[in-house]
Amino acid sequence: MKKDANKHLLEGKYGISDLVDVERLHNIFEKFSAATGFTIGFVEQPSQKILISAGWRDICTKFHRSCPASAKNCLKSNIKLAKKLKTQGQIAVEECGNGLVDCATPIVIGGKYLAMLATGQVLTKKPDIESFRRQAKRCGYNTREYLKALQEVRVTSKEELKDVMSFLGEIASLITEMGLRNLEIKEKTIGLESEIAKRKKVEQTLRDSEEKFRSLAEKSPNMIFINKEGRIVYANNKCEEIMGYSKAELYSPKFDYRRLVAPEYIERTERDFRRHMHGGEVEPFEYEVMTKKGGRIKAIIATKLVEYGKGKAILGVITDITERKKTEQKLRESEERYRQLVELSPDGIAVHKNGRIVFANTVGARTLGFRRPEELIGKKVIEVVHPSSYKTVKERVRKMMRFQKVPTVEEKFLTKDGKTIDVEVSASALMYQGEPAIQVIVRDITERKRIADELKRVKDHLQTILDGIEESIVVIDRKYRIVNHNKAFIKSLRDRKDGVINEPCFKAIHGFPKPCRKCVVRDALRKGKPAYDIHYHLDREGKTYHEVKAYPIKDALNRASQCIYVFRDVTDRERMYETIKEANVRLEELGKMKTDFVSIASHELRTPLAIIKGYVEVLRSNFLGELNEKQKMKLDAISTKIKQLNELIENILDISVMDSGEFKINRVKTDLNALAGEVVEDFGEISGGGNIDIRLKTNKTPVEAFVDPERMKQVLTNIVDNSVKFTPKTGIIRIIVSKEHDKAVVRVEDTGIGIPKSSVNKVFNRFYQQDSSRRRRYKGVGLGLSICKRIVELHGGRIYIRSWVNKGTVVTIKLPM
Amino acid sequence: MTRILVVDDEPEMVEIITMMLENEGYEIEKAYNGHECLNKLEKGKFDLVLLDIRMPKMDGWETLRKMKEKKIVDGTKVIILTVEKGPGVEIFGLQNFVKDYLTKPFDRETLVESITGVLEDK
Repeated sequence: MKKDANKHLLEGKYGISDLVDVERLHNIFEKFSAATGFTIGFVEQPSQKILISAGWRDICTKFHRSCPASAKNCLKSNIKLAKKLKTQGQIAVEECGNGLVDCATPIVIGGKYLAMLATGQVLTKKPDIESFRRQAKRCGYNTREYLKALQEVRVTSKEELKDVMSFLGEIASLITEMGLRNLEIKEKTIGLESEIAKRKKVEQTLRDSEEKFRSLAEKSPNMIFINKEGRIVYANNKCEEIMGYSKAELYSPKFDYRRLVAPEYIERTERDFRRHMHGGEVEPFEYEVMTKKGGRIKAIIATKLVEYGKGKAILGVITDITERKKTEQKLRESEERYRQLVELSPDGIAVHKNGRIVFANTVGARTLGFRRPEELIGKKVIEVVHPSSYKTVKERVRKMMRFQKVPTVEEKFLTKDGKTIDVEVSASALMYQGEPAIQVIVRDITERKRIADELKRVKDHLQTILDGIEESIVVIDRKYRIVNHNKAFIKSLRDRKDGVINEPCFKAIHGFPKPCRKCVVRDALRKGKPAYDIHYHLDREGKTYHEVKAYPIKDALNRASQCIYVFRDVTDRERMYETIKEANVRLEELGKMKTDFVSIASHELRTPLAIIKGYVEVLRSNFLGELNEKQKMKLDAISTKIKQLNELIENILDISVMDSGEFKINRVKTDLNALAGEVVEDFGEISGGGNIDIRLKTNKTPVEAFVDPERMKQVLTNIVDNSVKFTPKTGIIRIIVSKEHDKAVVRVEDTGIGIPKSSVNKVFNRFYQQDSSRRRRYKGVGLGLSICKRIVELHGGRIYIRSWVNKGTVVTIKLPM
Repeated sequence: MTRILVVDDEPEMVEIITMMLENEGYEIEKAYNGHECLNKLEKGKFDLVLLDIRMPKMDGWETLRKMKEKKIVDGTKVIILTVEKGPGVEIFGLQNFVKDYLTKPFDRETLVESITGVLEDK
């Protein structure tokens, strides 16, 4: 180890102060200096650091070394002295720049010059006082003090100085040698200690690593073991847990590790172990672990050759894959379920991976013209896509592979036989057999498209029809928004040209900010029934009328979701109606005026007539004296005219009452046989047994009808009276009462002059008479039959007339029973 | 003697009826409007009133209502003799003392028969 210490020395690791006890050396030097008067300086090399100074003179310490100018001389001479020294035992003498003499010897240890030992500060001859005085002046010393210090400086011979120096050098070298030996011992000790520490550290690391291995192995979810020469030397807790053997059992020298392997895998296991021992590589393999209870556990074993103790061993890791197998099974089942589900889907489903179809269901295959999925699987995606859809498909696949969602789109595909089909495609990325793939759901919409086209054609057709219609037709939804309309509608808006779709109808049509108060659209939508109205609006041209209709359209839930709103300008028609209405009102007023006038006039006429008639009767009764025959005849004539006049007034009054609608009939059950009888009887009295033969033929049983007897008698009388008027005196009048089905019938037949065919239908008109010439011959104003007709009709009956000129007339009255 | 009150605003009509009925032996009293009629009825007793309807001031219906109100009818019968075929007496609830309804112009016979019939019908 000496070598090591020297090496350290050479490398400058140790200095002189490391080798000698400076303190002790100082003591020795102090004592020597006090005894001999020689000063001693011990200066480290090459730093010139003064380690020890003993017995130094004041001349040096107080004067030379304290003044910068003279201190320079001290250092200069020190260096000069040190440089002279090289080898052990060499002694150099040097006079310093300040006039004193120094002597030095080197301390060389292990070939290295470590320090300089010096003595000096002596004079070798009597000093030149004058020269020292000058030095004092030059350096500014106190001359007296300086010269006093000079006197203390020893004067000796050079030989004596060298002897002293040699002695001191020997001592210093000795001490240094000792120091070096000490150091060598010290170094040796240190080396040993570090060797021991190193070994300890290795042992600790080993322990730590073993510990770490065990701790790791125990924590592992896998079974870990070490097999050395067929014996298990280590097994973790998992081994115990799964294999069912305790560690003690496993570690036993008698335990055969092959008991842990299912028989069919033993051979392979042994072969692998052998291969390991020959330094070969072994692949992990799937096998089955046998447990103590005889169970089998699916596992994968991975082994590696390791150093264990002194020698090689096999480290094994066994992974229980029972769960993984179950998961795989589940996965297979789920995949099977997926296949079944997919097979049931009404849409075509396919999966493609790396541009090739790897899966398809039957529908998917059929959509593309293949009989079975197997024919489609393996084809390139690009083979079934129409070139026009390449770009879309590519873009979508790219997006999906980055797990972006893509919307459902319409694309064009090609079938097996090259036909283009329209399809609706939804696609998404998924993992297929562990790799990213694209699942595509395809729906053949060729038929749908065809129907859509057909629908569009029908719609266009309908729109053309709608546009051809003059009325405005608008489809409006529940929120009053215009869904559709025809051309007439736009035309009706005048200022607007287009863009009314989705606009609320009240805004588009009327420019209102909110729905109209009265609205057929609302009515139709609320009630689910058509609504109708006539609106009018005021504008520059006056009132314009619109006939508006709304027909609800029911949705699938039978709710009125929209309505068809139809309107047209009916201003002209409405204006006409108004005119007619006004005219009607005027006419009604006129009619009433007429009725009132007739009524009043008739009454006013009757009053004087009553008086005239009264006086005529008074006269004829001879109350005012006897009258002659001539006078009586004239009064008779007046009486006849009064009667006619009265009848006329009566008829006019009846008509006017009928016209005013105040004509009343009091219906009671009446036997028409009897009624006809009364009439015939009256005529018998009136005609006074004239030539006309009036015959009555009644029904065998009573003919009872619900009539006003007075009015009905008036009717019969009137008809018979007419027959009498127009029948020659030799004629016959028959009155026949009968029942026909559920009707009571009274027929009056005469053999009179008849009525021309052209006039038959006019006889019931007011004031009708055949012609002016006849009017003169036959008296009457012609109100009779029209009154009869009204009365019969008021009873719910009918009156008919048939006539033959110059042969006769038949008037038939039919009344409900 | 049977007393008859003839009420009519036309003096000629009153004269004619008076002549006709005096000839039949009735005692005739005349009134030319509703007020006179009521006055006469209050003063004396009549067997029958021949009442016109269309009269100025107070018409026949009003007169009848007053008669009913003042209870001055007291067995007196009424025959209405008027130009119009107005609403029936039923409407006015006067059927109890209005016994007949004749329209003008009338026949002498019809008038006499009606009066005879009404007076005989106790």
